[in-house]
Amino acid sequence: MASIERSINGQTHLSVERLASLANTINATIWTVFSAIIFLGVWALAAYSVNDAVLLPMPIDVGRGGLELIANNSLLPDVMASLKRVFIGFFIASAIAVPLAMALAHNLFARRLAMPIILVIRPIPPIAWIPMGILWFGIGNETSYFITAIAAFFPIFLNAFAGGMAMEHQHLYAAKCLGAKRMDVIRFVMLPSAMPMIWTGLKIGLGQAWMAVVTAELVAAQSGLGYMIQVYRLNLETAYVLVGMAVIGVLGSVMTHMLSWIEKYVLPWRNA
Amino acid sequence: MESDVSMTNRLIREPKQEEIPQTVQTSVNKTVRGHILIENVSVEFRRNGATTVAVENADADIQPGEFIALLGPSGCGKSTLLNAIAGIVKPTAGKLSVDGEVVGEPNETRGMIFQQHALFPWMTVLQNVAFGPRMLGAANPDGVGRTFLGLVGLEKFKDLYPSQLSGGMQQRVGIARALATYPPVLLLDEPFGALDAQTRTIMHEELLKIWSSFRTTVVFVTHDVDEAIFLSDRVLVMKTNPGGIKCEIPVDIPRPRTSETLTNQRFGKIRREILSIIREESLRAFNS
Repeated sequence: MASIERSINGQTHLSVERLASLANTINATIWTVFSAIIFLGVWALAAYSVNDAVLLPMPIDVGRGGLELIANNSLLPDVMASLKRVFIGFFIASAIAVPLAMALAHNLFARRLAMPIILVIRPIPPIAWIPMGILWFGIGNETSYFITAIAAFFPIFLNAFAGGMAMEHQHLYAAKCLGAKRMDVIRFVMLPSAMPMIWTGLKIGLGQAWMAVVTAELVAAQSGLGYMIQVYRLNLETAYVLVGMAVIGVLGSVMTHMLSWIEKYVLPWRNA
Repeated sequence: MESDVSMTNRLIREPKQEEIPQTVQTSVNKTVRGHILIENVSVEFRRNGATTVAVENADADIQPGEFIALLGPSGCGKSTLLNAIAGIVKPTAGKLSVDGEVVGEPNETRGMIFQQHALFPWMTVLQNVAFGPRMLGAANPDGVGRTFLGLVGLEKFKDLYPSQLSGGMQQRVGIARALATYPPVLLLDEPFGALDAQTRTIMHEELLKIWSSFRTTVVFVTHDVDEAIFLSDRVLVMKTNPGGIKCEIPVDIPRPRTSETLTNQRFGKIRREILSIIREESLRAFNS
């Protein structure tokens, strides 16, 4: 009842909630700034005592390096190359993993046939697929798509599968009593009831894909952030290497957060 | 919860004739459907090598438009028998048919209302009620959904999610959803068991009101003697160990039934009769 009253006549409640969430945001921001200052301080102290710009440059040099790479327009193309690979690989993985998971959750025969294979392939780390990727696709985008897709596939598949298996029997019976046929059940009942788990899988999968694309680019590409840090290491331009690493970290964290932000639009009943 | 009860009172009303879609009127008035025939039905479960007989040799002939209560304690197989009629469990012996057709998988000819409402949490109230019409290819599922939400007085909650409603409201959405496909048979598995006493009493009267304009065959599972008598035309009293139908008691109390029915003499007499059967049955089970 409380929630009904709130949604129907509770503007005052809403503004109090909004104020509380604003306070939370400010609080979180203060702590983030605080933790960044401590991190940079410790780093600067370490860099000062090491006193070797190749082993560990000062934070200010890395910052300056970042500005240089932005100014001479060499950072953006690498960022775009990596992002493109991640999203294509991630998209391929989702497009295969979710329907496959639903099919296996629905069909006992297919499940018994496929699960042993999947459970043996799963422990092979994405990095171990790189030699096969290079043999099959050469050095270039396709190998990176392949590696990121493999990295993203398993977290998405396993979560979607668990979600599909957890469908409540009563929902299945209710749907059938309302005239739903086999495909309707998968589409309108199994898929949405698995959606919270699928979403968790997508979040983990995107993170895995991002880590994998950097790995793939270290050996199997001619562009991208992974390739960039490898090249600057060969030139002993450590500040640029650290710029690349910082960009990888920030972008990875932003991508994961983006999925959390849009979660309430994908799973509206969850926050209702 | 008090506000819920008063709201129920205020919002639920009998459907006006023009509010019931044409299809209901024709299917209710012209065709006689919903004849359930249970012939010598047994249901056994096998678990870890041991066989449990949930229902043994049940027989019943349920007429179209009849309101039947399956009454018994837990373990008497009443839910199992209901699930067999729904097609969720298969009889291990005997024959179960609706309108001459042997019962197979659950389908739209037998609507269900569950104890835990079983609404789809990812759909809004309206989407839940419109789901059946949509699956059956109705021209305007949302329109049908709104009509049936109106019948249970929940039109203005149509865009909320089930989790935002109280237990009584959720069950009313469940009733609207099950009726929206105009099923000839409606199966209810202790649908008001989780509600508080006041809400429950009101739900009984509202269920009868709605049923009186639809006249589908109803099989209502309960362990509550008063509920069984108040609602039904006939009470099938179940027995335990092994489960099955012990006897049937006709309820010849005129309709419409109201809160006064509960103090009616006939009501008291039937109540005593059923309680003595149940007592005799429990003693037998206790001594064996």
